[in-house]
This record gives sequence, C-alpha cells and structure tokens, in this order.
Amino acid sequence: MVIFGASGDLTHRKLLPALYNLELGRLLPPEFCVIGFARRPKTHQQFRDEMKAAVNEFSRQKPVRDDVWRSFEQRMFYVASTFEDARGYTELLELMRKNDREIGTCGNRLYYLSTPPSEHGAIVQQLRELEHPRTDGHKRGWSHIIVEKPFGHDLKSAQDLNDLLHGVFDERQIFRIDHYLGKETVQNILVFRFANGIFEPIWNRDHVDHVQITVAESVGVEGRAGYYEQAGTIRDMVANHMLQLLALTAMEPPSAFDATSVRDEKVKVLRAIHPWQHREEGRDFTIRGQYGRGWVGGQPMPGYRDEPGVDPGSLTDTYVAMKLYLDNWRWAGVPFYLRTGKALPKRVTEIAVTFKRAPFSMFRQTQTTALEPNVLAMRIQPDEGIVLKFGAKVPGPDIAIRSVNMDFLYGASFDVAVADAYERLILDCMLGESTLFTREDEVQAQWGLIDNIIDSWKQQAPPKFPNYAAGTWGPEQANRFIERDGRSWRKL
Amino acid sequence: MSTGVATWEGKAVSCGQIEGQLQRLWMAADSDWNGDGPRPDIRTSVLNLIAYAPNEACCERTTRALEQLSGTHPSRAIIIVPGDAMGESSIDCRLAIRSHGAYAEYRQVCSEQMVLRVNGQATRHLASIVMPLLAPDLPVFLWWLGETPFHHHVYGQLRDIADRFIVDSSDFSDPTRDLVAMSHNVHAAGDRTAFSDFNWARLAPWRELIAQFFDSPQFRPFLDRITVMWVECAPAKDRLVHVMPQVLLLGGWFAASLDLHAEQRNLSPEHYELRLRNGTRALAIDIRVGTLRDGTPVKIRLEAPAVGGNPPAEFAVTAEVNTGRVTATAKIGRAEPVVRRSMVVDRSEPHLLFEELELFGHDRTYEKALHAAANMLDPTYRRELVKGSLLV
Repeated sequence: MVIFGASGDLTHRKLLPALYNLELGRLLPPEFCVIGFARRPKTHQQFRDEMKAAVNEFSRQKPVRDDVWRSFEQRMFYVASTFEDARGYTELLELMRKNDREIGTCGNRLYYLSTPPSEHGAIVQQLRELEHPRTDGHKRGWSHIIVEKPFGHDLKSAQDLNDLLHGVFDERQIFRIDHYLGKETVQNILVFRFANGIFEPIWNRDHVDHVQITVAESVGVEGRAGYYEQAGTIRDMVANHMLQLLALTAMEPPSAFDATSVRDEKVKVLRAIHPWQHREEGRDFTIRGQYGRGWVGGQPMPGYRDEPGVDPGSLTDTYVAMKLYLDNWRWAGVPFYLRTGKALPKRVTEIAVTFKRAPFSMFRQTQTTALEPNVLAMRIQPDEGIVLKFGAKVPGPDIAIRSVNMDFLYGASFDVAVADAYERLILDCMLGESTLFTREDEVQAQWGLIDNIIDSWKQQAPPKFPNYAAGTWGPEQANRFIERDGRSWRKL
Repeated sequence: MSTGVATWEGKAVSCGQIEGQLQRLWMAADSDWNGDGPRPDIRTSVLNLIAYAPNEACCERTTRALEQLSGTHPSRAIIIVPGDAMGESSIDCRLAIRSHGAYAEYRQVCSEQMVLRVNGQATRHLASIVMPLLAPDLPVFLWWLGETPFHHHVYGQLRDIADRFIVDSSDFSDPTRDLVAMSHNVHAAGDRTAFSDFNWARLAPWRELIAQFFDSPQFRPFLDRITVMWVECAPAKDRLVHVMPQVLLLGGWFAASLDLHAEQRNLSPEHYELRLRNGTRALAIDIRVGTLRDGTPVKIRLEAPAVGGNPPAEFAVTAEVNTGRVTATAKIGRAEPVVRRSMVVDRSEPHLLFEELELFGHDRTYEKALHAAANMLDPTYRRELVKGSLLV
C-alpha cells in the first residue's frame, strides 16, 4: 500500500491507526507493506517512529503492542519526493519490486491518494508510467487506487478526474472513499431496512411524514481554512456524506448485496432528486449560514472569518440546511430535510424518519399535548444505535400519554469494539469489494445536484454573514425554514 | 433507595471527555455484571433534568431529590454549580450512574448524574456546556434553585434550551417584583418554554379544598356572591417574603377563575389589600401575616354576604398546627356547619419535583393565576404587556 501524502493529518489520525488495528487483528496478510510517499525528507526509521507515535495517539487500541509493531514496522518504508518528480516514482517502483521479491507482495498494489485534489493529476500521470508495464503482461497481481474526497469540486472537475483515472485504471480498480460508508451504523441502515420485514411496508409516502438527516460538527475549520474556503459545507459534507446517507435511506431494495446492485439503486435515488428549475427554488429550499464567534463546550470559539487563512469578508458557508424531494413513487411529496454545519453545539450524525400521526385521535380529551409523532432515528455517531419513539400510557388512573424511546445501542448489545471505518474500507479495497465505495455515476449525480444549488446561490444576493453564533444550532432562518412547513428540527 | 453503580471524577475536562467517560461507565457497568442480582439497565432515561445550583448546599439538595426520583424518573441529570467566575475557564465533573431496583425484578432502572463545577468565563456560557451533554430527543426540564433567575446573565440561554423551567418562588427575594417579572417572562417565552413553580404545587391541596366547596350544588350559587377573600399566612424563616408568593398565587388563581382585575392596591410588607372588579362583580382580597404555621397559608376564608332573602355564607380552610391536618368548613347562615377534614400530603422538595416532572406542556391554570397575581401587584402590568406586544 502506497500512501501519497504520508506526512498528512489523515495518515496520522486514520490510515496508520487503521492499518495497525488490522495488523493487530491479524487481518492483514503477513507480506503486507506500507510505503509512505511525501515531500518531506526522512528515513524509513524516522517514518516508522513517526507512525508509531501517531498510532499511540490516535488508535482505538493503544498503547502500541511492541511485539506487533516490531513485526509491522519492518514492512514499512518511506520515499521522499515531490509528486511531480519522476525520480521519486522510479525509486518507488524499485522499492515495490524489491518487496515483491523479498517480502512477497506479489505485484499487488494499493495506491492511496491522501493528498489535496490539486495533486491528484500529477500523481495519476506518474502512476501511468508505473502501471504501464503491467498492461504488457510483465507483472502479475492487482492494482487498486483509493481516492480521498473531495472527488473534484464540481461536476466538470469530477468528470476530468474520472477521465484522468480511467486513463490508467478501469472503474473496477478505482475506489472513491467516503468514510461514512465504512461506519458500522451506516452499513446497518441496509441491514435494518432489508433484513427485517416489518419496516419496508411503511417506508414510503403513505406512512412517512418527512425525513431529517443531520450531520453536526462542534469543531470549526481546524486549520483547514485553505481547503474550506474553496469547498464550504455544501461541498465538504453535503456533496458526499449527506447525499450518501440520503441514498441509503431512500433506495429501493437491491436484488443482491453486491457492488453493482447496491450502487445501481443508490444512483437511482440521486438521479430522482427533484432538480430546481428556478433560482427561487434554490432560495426557498436552502438556508446558508456562517458562524460568528461564540462558545462551544464551555470554550470560546473564534468566528469563521477570524480563523487563520480565512478571508475576513468570506462568504463561505459553514452551515447548510435544505429540503429535497424525490421524484419517484415511493417518496413523492415527502420532504427530506438535510442540515449540516460546523461550530454547532455537539457532534452528532443521525437519520430520523418521522411517521405520519395516527389518522384519528380518540384521546383528544386527555393530556396529549406532548405526544409527538412516531420517529425512527438511526444514530450514526455518537451513541450508535436505533431509537423508536412512540406514545405510551403513563401509569395512573387517567389516560395520560407520553412519548417514550425504545433504544437499541450498539455498544450495549454487542460487546465488541466497533472498528474504525477506514479499517473496513481498506480491507474491502484490498479484496476488491467496492460496495461501500462511490461509483463514477454516483459522483456525477451528486455533483449535478450540488452545481444546481450553487448556481442558484450565485443568482441570489450575497448572504449576510456571519448569521449564527458558534455553539448554537445554526441561523434562526433555518428554524423558520422548517417551521414554515409545520415541522421543527429534532432536538439533538 | 438508589445506589451508585459506577462513578468517575475529572478536573478541567472537556464536554467530549465527559461524554466519553459516561460511555465507558456504561460499558463497564454492563461488563462487570456477573449474573448475580439485577442487571444494570442501559439508558432508560425518559428526560433530561438540568439543575442550576448556585452553591454547594443547593447541589446537595438537588442530589438528595434526584436520589429519590431515579426509580420513577430515570433521567440524565446535569447539576451545574457555578464556581469562581474570575478564575480560568474550566469544568470539573463528577459522573455517576445510579441504579434503582425497586421497580424491576431482573433489571435495574438506571439514571445518569453529572455534577459540573464551572469556573471562569465559562460560568457566563453555561448553555454551551449543557447542550452537548443533553441526551438527544428527550424533554429538557430545568430546575433553578436559589434566588430569582430572571435577572441572571445565564437565564435566557438556559431558558432557551428548556422545555420546562421550574422555579420555587418561595426563594424569591422580592415577591412583588419577581412574580411580575416571572409573568412577563412566561409571556415572552410563548409556547417555546413552559414554566412552573413549586409554590403553585404547594397550593394544590388548598385549591382543591376550595374548589370542592363549589362542586356541591348546595354551595355552588354562593361562588358568584363571594365578595371577600381573607388569607392569613405565617412568615417562613421569619420573613414574609417566603410565603407571600404562594398566597399571591392563590389570590391570582381566585381572581383568574372569576375573571376579575385589580382596581386598587394597598401593599405594605405585612398586609396586602386588593380590590378587584369586573363590571358589577367585586372582590376584596385581604392578606395578613399570622403567627402560626411556617411556610404555608394557615387560614383562608371566603365570605358571601346576605343578599335579599339569601343568608350569608362563609367558607374556610384552616391548617392545624403541628398535625398537618386541614379542616374545610362551610357555614350557611345559622345552619350547622359542614366540616371536612383531610391531611396535607407530602410537600417535600423531591415530591414537588416528582410532580413537576410529570407535567408536559403548559399549565394554563397556573399561568393564568400568575398573570392575574402580577396584574394585582403591578398597576403598570397590562400597559407594559401592551407596550411589549405581549398581550394577545
């Protein structure tokens, strides 16, 4: 496995801890090698030490077990080079061939692009040279490439990147990673929906009032101002994670749990999202926000515009709420409310399906003011699990009804540590299993929608930012936005 | 009684650490279970309860009350104790999972309790600490202990996250000013936050006994003829202010029930004289400090004068010293009085809190009584409401 951008934050926080945990669980083949590829000069040993420190800090299982690490680090190497320099790739090729011979990697290659999108072009061009002999039959083994998000910044750049990748790899070799899909609870959406017979009959417009998908972060931009200024929340969160969650929630049952069937159904959902025809629709169906200074978790947080590297007059969105409709028989007329933002009060990801109220209430004379509609909430993080809310009679002589929650919590029901999403996804990639990765047509459908939204924003007057304080649940307009429909955001 | 299943303490911690430690406590509690005795149940919370405890004594009171409630109202309780506001911002936390086995044979009902001692600037931003720690999608009750909250710098932010804001007006330092302020705040909160007051709950048996007089067809006609309401009350802790809000709420309740508005007020520290009217209907309310029982009204008397051929009537509810016995007496003219006796039920703090946690939505009867009491006390009340566009 070659990690391009091995000095970066993702490598330290996620990739190496994931690989270490796979090694610890004996899920990696004994001949598995890691090669870090980055600009910064360092020796193999320096790289190993750095990675050990990272694992000790960020791994879900720590401290590092020395016996495991000693064996693992012997198969860990480093190549210092810019991404444009052909000599670096020659050195990489030699190292990989040496490992093929001496360690037994058998010509299998997993390239991981953990670099900014601007570097993708240079790396893939160089990989063309590395991969070229393979097509001539000089080598055996497989080559897969994992591409980190963002996969482009609009439809055109995504198509350009696809073209570039397809010049070297065919689609089945390309693994566009959205780490949300590697989370146990996200995968459980499919199991929950399609392995149980009781939910699917009510999973439609006849019974569902609306769906809310929330991806809230309590942190700010955390030193990623350069990227964030270009992307904003709409590209950073909505274009991938949130639309994937929407697709999993709304998709039809696939004929099989395989990459083609599942992704065929997901892409149908993405293509069914009602396109906006007029700029007024963009204004009426989305709310943008940017946080100002405030307090989160008892700590002061600077406003977005006060962050280093952010334009003091920046109009970048750090909060987005939107309402989408799907043009299909199952979901026609059912609004899907999406909200995501930074500097919100807590980190939480949840999909909540709110069902229609009982058609007739025979308890009108009782204290039922607090009775809420049934809600099925799938919590992705934290407190991973599923909650069903329903009304129950309060014990006592009169008919008092209260909403109660029936909880299923992963941590309580399965006494095993949940693996990090990257562990599952890296393993799947090695096995060539692409169900949990995003296909080319999904990416294009996602960007088609996002371009549509951003185009409508461009035609509107510039927003008055900042419009919410850090530590609050977003701009007040977002509350009015949903209250206008007689609904409210869930209290999380 | 509840017992601690697992506890954890940390100094200068973040909300993320608290959340993480709470998860660890649950997992540890579950994995430590060896099959003997009731198994600790997982997250049976039905509500969030935030308690603002301005000092250690209030914190103790809260903890004691919660211990008695964990069996019937398993909750995530967050007790906030503000510390040194001038120091460095920090949160010290004590976590506990408490279990209560009285209601389940095989599994125990468990509650979570967090005591947060907050220092420095963070004391001014308590909502930012509480919000990440709330259990999602559960109603939020806020219990404010100590003096009047309405002028406090964190009042607004805490009110905005609460579905129900609970106070005890017996702690109000200036009942006249504070009840009026509370009424304005109830108006301002609209449907978003409901308010309640322990003092209102304390009045429940008194209101019940008074209302029961007029349930009887024999006495019902006298309700429209009552012209005087005498209330004799006792100072609690040698201060009139502790009991006065309760009495004023009682007066407000009566005035609201009869749709009467204050015309004249003569308010002195130990004697409130009020004249209320609606068209031809008039009522005088006379509240005096007595010397008998501590903390509650001791005697309420409603008088209906003789009119035409109808005899005079007197309805009285009297609390007996020491025994807790209450006597309700209805006397019509020279007829033999009708006497009912009952006992005042437990009005301890945990019991009052228990009742509040049973309430969802607005208690409109209480709100009307509060507004009527504020109207009785403050001649500018209605004008202020109109000015603030709060009067519908």
